[in-house]
Amino acid sequence: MEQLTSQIALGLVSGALLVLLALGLNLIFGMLEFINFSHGALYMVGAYVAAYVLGAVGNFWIALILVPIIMAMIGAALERTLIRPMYPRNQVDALLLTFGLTYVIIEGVRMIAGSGGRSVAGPEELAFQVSLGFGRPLPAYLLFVVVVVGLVVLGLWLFLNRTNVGLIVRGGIRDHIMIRALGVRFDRYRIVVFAVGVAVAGLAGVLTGPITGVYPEMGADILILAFVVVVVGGMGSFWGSVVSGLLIGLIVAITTLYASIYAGIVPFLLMILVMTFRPRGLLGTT
Amino acid sequence: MTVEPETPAVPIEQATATTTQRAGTRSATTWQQLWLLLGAIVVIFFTVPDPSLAISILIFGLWAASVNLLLGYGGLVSFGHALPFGWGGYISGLLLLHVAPNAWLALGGSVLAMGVLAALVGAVCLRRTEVYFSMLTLAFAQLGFFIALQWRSVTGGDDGLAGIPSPNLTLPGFTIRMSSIGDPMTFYIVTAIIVTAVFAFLILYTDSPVGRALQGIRESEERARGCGYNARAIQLLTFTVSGSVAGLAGGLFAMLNNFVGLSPYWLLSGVVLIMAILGGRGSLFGSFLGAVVFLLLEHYLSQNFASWQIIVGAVFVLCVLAFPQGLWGVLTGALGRVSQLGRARA
Repeated sequence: MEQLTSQIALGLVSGALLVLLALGLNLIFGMLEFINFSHGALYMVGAYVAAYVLGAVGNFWIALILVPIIMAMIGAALERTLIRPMYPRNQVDALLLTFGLTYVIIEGVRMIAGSGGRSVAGPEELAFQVSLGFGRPLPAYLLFVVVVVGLVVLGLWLFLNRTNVGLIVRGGIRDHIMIRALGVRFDRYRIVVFAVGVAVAGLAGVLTGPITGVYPEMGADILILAFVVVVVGGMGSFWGSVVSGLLIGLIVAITTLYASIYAGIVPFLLMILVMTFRPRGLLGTT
Repeated sequence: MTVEPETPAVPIEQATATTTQRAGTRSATTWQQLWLLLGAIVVIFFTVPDPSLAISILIFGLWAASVNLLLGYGGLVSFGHALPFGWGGYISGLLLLHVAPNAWLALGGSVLAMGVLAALVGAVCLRRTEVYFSMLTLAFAQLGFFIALQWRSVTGGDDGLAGIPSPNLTLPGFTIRMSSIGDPMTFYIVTAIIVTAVFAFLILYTDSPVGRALQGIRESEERARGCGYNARAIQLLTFTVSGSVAGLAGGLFAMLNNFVGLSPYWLLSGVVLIMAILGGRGSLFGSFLGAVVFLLLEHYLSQNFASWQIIVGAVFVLCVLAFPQGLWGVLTGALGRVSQLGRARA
């Protein structure tokens, strides 16, 4: 029983990280109708940038603030150069372009940082264990990750619902000529959305670094899982991604405990089930 | 695809005549692909020094053509085409190891099993189109990968399936031993014959009424449905055909290496997509050419430059951005312009 509760806690932590990745992916897909296959590679870049910033400054908190800003700038630059010409093209070409980009980014990181991984030190202030009252005590850093994810989810929700960015971009996707005629600089809003999505991916990278270390392929497998989360939750659905991310984190953790050889398969089985019986996703609308 | 402007002013008889004529010329160019393929096979035979590389090129060319059947003709991006390739290899390998070293049995088994598998997978994946379809194929490929990884007693897991015997190909009157190390030339010729035959079949398929309908569905599914075509059934049939051809390629690859390895499926699926798009998704020969270019680049660049994939990736991104029709599209476009210039002068 103690094992199960601990495993549930760990599942929620990995689920929270999945939520962060899926939300970035879903934000870009839901608002720009652009499918970003390079999301996982950008997450990996975020983790590497964090490792470098940590190496230079030695302070985790600075990395936590600085890396999302750097990643947002990288995202904006990408949007301006490679992504923007793809908006009028079909989604399949977007998928292929960002897939090629993934290839380039992973290989570029291997070239610069070497193909081996490196470990990243977490913040010293959080290097203690917390007893939750159930299960075994958990490293404080993992709880901190959950709290940060919670704050980001809240922040993103406010960004989408309490500012007019969401409204403008959604309107612009429907009819960009009309939104421009109304005097809105639509391109700027689009760039902001893409940059925010990439910044969230970068933040997920920073948070993951101290848990698993950083390595060039870290984005590849988790990206596929993040896609599964988005599809299971419903493409474009904000809370769908949150719920299904936590759900998949939990399910994987519990299967790892009882039948570890199936742990890799379970998310895909869930996705196939959802696609078969509820194609719009758990909380999807269309 | 170029869209012909509608000209309602043309009398109907004349319009029908033009359509038939155009259809006639198109099927001629379709068959030219087969001659191009035969030419390429001969050139590869005499120019590529490493026989194993030459045979790989043929096999990957076939695989790329099978993925292009979905991608270029069906508009369906499969991110899981390593699934029938990988498992096609396992099926052939297992049949050769445990049943009999018979090439017909092994390849037939791969084609049949992967056809059935693709029909089942396709039935689920084709419930959705576009990006959802891609993600579902990716999910099934991952599923297949994990099964191959965990089912050690059958697939060998991480270590792969080793020690696959070289098969015999029995034909009326004589038997050929397909040994890639002992007699690579025979292996190459046999592979070339199989690849050409399947290529001819694929050309027939794309040119058949089903293949034409498939391209119509790619252009506008609603309109095709309106015309009474069962879009899903046609796509499912194509998915099945494409899967069995990929299974055949996987089986041949297993015979070539006498080994089936376990490599991450999504990477392999990506490689074959890169080949198909690099070469050009407009024609089956284009994707074959893509495999030739990719494998030659890999062979020569990887010796001198460890990060050769960054070049391939960059070329690929450039291709998607600026030349969606790929290398072959660019080449034929340039040739077309040159011949037009020549005609204008004459």
